[in-house]
Amino acid sequence: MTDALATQPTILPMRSPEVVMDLKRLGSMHQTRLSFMRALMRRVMSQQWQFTPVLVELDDQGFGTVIYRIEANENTYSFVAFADYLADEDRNDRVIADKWDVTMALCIGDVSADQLADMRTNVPKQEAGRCRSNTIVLSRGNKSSRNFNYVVDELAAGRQPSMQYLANVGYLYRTTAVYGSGKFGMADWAKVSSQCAEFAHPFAAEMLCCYMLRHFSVQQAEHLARIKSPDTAVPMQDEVKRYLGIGNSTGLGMAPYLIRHPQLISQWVLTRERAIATVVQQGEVNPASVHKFQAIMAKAAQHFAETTVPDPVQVARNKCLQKELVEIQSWIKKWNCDAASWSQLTQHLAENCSLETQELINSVLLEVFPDLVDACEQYGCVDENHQLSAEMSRAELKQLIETRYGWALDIDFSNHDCNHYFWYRSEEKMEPRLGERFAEPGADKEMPLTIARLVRQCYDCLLADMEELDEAEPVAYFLLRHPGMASIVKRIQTMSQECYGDIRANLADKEMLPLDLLRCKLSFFGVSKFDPKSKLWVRNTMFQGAPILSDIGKPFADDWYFPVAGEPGAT
Amino acid sequence: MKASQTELLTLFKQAFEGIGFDAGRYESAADMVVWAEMHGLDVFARLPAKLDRLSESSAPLIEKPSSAGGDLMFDAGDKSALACGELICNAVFASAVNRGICSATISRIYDRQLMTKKIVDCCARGAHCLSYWQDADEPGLVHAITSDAGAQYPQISSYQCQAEVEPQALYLVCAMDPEGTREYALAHCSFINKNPLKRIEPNELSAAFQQSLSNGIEITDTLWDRLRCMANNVLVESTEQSRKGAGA
Repeated sequence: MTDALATQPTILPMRSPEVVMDLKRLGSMHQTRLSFMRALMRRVMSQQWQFTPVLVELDDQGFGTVIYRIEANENTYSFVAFADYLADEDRNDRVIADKWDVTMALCIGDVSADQLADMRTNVPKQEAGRCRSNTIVLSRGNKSSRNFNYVVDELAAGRQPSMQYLANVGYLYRTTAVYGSGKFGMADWAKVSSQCAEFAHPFAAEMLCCYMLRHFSVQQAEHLARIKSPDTAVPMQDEVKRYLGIGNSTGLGMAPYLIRHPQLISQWVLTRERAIATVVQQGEVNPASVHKFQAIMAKAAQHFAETTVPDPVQVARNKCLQKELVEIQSWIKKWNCDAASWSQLTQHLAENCSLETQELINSVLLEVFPDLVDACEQYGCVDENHQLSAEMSRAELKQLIETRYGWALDIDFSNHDCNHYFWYRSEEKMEPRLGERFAEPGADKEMPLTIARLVRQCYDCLLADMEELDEAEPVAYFLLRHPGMASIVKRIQTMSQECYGDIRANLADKEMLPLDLLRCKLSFFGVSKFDPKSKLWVRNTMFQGAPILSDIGKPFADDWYFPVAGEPGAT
Repeated sequence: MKASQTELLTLFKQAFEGIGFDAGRYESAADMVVWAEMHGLDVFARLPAKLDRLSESSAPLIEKPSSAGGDLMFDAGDKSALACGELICNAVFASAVNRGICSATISRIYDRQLMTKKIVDCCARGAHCLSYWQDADEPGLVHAITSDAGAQYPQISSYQCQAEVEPQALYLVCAMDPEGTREYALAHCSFINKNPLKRIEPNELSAAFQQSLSNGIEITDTLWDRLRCMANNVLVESTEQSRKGAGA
């Protein structure tokens, strides 16, 4: 009996797509140890990547060029940054800006003098410039002027910046766009994933570029402090450096990606869900694991207590989260470890807590059992080709839609509110924007991102054809009559092979919050401190608490989640 | 200038969308052009003339094919394979799955060489394929694409022969068994057993692709600007109101 049980495959208690792919839930997710930044830092630390400054030419105002040579596990890369003058009135986080405090690129191999000259011309132009095919990331950032000037002044005066001050805004620079995957002449993802093993992981190169900006921001601040007051200036202490992250502003440009890459999203979500299910099923409940859980919860609570944002909705969400964390800590204290299970906790959360708290606890749970979780980190390369199953009958396709896309068929698109928005590309840098269909021009150029409506249209076409044609007819023949349906049919057929991937929401609905899409993707990146500036864009912090370059080679606990403000000099 | 695969695919999709292709067709047309160029088939040089023709006419609606002696007959209506190639390939493939083999004649179709990518896709799905055609300006020269199921790259050959080939037509055979295409070739394409005038082997296509991927794809400023101009049709004018739709 025991042997028979032992040979049975383990069935993980995975959450259903209906639960997980709900946009409100996706918009409540937090970073986890599987997030891309965390995974990158594990590789950097365990493989002991070497970062060497090969050119640091900054003038008395901090302007100039910096190049770092990065010897990663198998390959060498160069991080190149150009710091330039930017008038305060020109500092703009929007995509449509055309000047920045710093522009930068990450390249394969060393950068020759010829390429550097070429980059000096093109990188500061960003979208208007061209990159060579050995460039894998192009990005830019702006100073958080108040913070930057404060830190320079403090260091120049021989003092460390106050951690409490930095708790409000924990960075000196914000990135405003990070481009990769073949944009502006850069290397395609197919090249990066096949030739750069270190970056054959989702957004790994982009994350490293942001990490290097974090390093540069401190380097530039220290440089300016020395210029300002050579006699009194002090370097920044490592504790402060670690607490400084890099800011990020993210707008609608990130949203279409989530819709256009459903197989990739499915893989990301599946990886996360598999890890949660593994922990819930296999994570042992004992005094040590419960103690660790409580300690991480306490750190998370402090992190959110220190998160100050002006947005009243986010403030309310954070307050609710803190209140519920206290309640859960009390509830857990009553646990009898011999009889308790983590599934009891998740059940309790589902019945009693907000989505924000449920997802935060999932993140905490993953930290309690790193050995179980890190084995789940399998972000292999996904073949994103949507191939048509041409021979499938129309009847089968209809059945597939009814089975897999019932959520889409439930939406009443004859209701104006369900068609309120349309997504389009603006002539300004092709920026994705959201328009009000019944009030603004441009709906005739709508981007096909409202998957639910496309599914509905396809389904209606199938029904209409059913009345007069043989339902066994192959889909390929259906498409000869309805060529405009080819794209959505391929998607439906492809996604029927995936567990997750399609976000279950009507992206044209009046109540839809684009912010939820942004937060979902940002949580996979691993950012913290969501600071919504409207329902269309959000500021956040990357790499806050992460190891600094001088930590490489030292013991690494991988516990830089939910960073909290300590005091300089404290251990 | 050099461009990446991703950026060319995006630009071509928007350009084809800009001249009125619907979602299924602009994706497939972009795929066909960029695949051919990346694999060394040198289509960019001849693309301006093709774009002229595409811009002047709407995409055809392919009627359900007629059947003659077991063959499917399509009429592309003097339109480009970019507008209808994938739809037709899919229909032929679906019929082959149902019957074991399907041969089709696609009349009045332009840009036949660009069908190569869609034929490769049929092979990826498990079909053995054979396709051939003759260009009007090269009488006596027959071009053929052959590829087995699962093959990533086909063999592309040109034969000097006087085959009975309908001008401006493309012949396509999909079979689920390799014997299917062999028997068809024996019966209808004796030229395939002759020495070709020119042949592009799968390894040459593969090498060209790797070269394109590593170094980027050359595109003239003129063609780039033309595509950008076509793509501009999908963009919406920026106004103060629209800036609010981006969070301003």
